[in-house]
This record gives sequence, structure tokens and C-alpha cells, in this order.
Amino acid sequence: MWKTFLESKPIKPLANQNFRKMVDPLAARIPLPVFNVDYLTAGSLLLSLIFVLTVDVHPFFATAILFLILLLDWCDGVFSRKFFPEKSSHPEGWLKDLVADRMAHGIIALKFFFPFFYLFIIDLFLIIFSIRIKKQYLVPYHFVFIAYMIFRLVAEKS
Amino acid sequence: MSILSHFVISYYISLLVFGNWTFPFEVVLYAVVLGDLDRFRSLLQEQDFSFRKKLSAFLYGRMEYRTWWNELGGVGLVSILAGVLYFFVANKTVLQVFVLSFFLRYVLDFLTLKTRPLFPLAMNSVEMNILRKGKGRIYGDFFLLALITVLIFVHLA
Repeated sequence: MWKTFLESKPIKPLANQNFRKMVDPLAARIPLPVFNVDYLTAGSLLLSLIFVLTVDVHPFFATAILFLILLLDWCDGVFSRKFFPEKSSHPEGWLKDLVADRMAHGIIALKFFFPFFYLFIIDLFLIIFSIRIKKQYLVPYHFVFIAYMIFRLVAEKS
Repeated sequence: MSILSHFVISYYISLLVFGNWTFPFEVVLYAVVLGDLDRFRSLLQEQDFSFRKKLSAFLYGRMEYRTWWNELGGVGLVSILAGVLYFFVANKTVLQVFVLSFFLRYVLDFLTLKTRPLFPLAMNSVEMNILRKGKGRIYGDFFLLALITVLIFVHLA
């Protein structure tokens, strides 16, 4: 039953579709040459490593990197729909995004471990749950970390 | 990527993240070799392969031989075990280095090879078009290996 190919975009995204409809035409107007969107996905993974390396030394810079990861995560979907609309219903892009996000979360969570790593484990199991019920559920990890980093910065200042 | 590249890159990143001499290098080696265990299947199962093909399959992996252990399933299992062991091990850095190396090995494969992330739940394969294929990938791998090795020696010096 499980051993199957995901034939079309299998999961209904959690993101607000109206927001997407509003943003995509704006992104379509940005004059950019066609580029490989996979570089953005790989970039978010690389940035998560840079975050882990800098978080103890430059927490402010690390927080800025978290925002950049969030931006890249958003941009890869927007630009893949802009440049390759024929592939937008294909599960391959969804899978790439899913794995890159989860691994970026995992690498960041490992640095702090408790309690973030347990959220990461829950997030991994939400993948199975999402496929079963055909609707994407995930832990908003980047937002959790951004909130944590802002709290940490404020605490350090005071 | 080759097992050696997995080891060298994971070791260097672990050094940068957790600092020198906070963990023995064998931890990274165990994580990398344990993660890539299913590559030995290509040596044992394919009788028709020439030595060159077997070596290539062993070093760079082939999607057909990748089991769930080498995909997100393995990442999930190792994460659960690490989550439980975290409360029982004395040296938590060693555990973190082990899991980081296991993750990085998967990330490097995901970026450079064809993988099936949700195997066995779904058979869909993905390939990030980051590096060139064929000989370009092998040269790139060697270049990265040499570069990171030099960086490790500079870092430890």
C-alpha cells in the first residue's frame, strides 16, 4: 500500500493559497535570468551550517542568517513556479524542498539539542502523517528559532 | 560522494562546530561508515559488474542499492536513538558529533547523488543538479577532498 510513486503534487500545502496568488505575479515581474532553483535549496542547507558555526560567536549575525534561510526557503518555491511552471505540480520539487528543510532544521537543532532536537524528530514523523492525510503539517521551525534567537539577544542585552 | 569525502567533510565541520580535541575522530568515522554500510551491497550483489563499475558503485553509491537506512528513514531512526541516549551518555558532544556526521553524510549524498528520500514509503527519486555528472563529479570530489584535508591540517596546526 505504501510502496508507491507519488504521482502528482501529493500534499496540499499549509501555506495560504491567497497569499501565494498575490506574491507569484509580483515575483514574475522581477527581471531575472532563468537559473537553477536547486542552488537556492542547497543554499539554505549551507546557511544552516554557517548559522551553527556563528551562533555562539556572533548571535546577531546568526539571527540575520536565520532570516536569510527563511527568505531562501520562500524564494525557491516562488522562482521554481516562475521559471518552471510545468514542473510545479511535480512531486520532485516538493521532495527536494522537504528534505532540504528537514536537514537544515536537524543541523540547527543538533547544536542546541534540548528541546529543539525533539521538535525535529516530531517534524520528521509529521512527513509520514502528511502523506497519509494528504495535507502538509510541519513544525514552524525557522520561526521557533527566530523567536528563540530574538529572546536570547534581548536577554543578553539586558 | 565517496565515503572518504564524507568522512573528511564531516570531520572538518564537526571540528569547526564543536572545537578541537573535544571528540575523538573515530566518532565521525563510525558514523560515516555505519551510514554507508549499504554500499557494500553493490560489491556483493552485482556479479555482472566489472571491477571498475563495482568500485564506482562502492565509492559514489548507486540509487538501486540505497536502502531506507541511507535515506530519511535512517536519519529518523538515528535521531530517535540519539534523543533517548542524550539523557544517558556522559559525553554529550560525542553524541552530537556522531549525529551531525550521520546527517552531513546524508546531506552530501542528497546534494550530489540521485536519492529516494521517502524510500520505502515512496519510490520517487530526486537529484539536485548541483554538481556535474560523470568525470566532472569525480574530479570535483577529489578537489574538495584535497581542499578540506589541507584545511583540517591548517586548523589543527
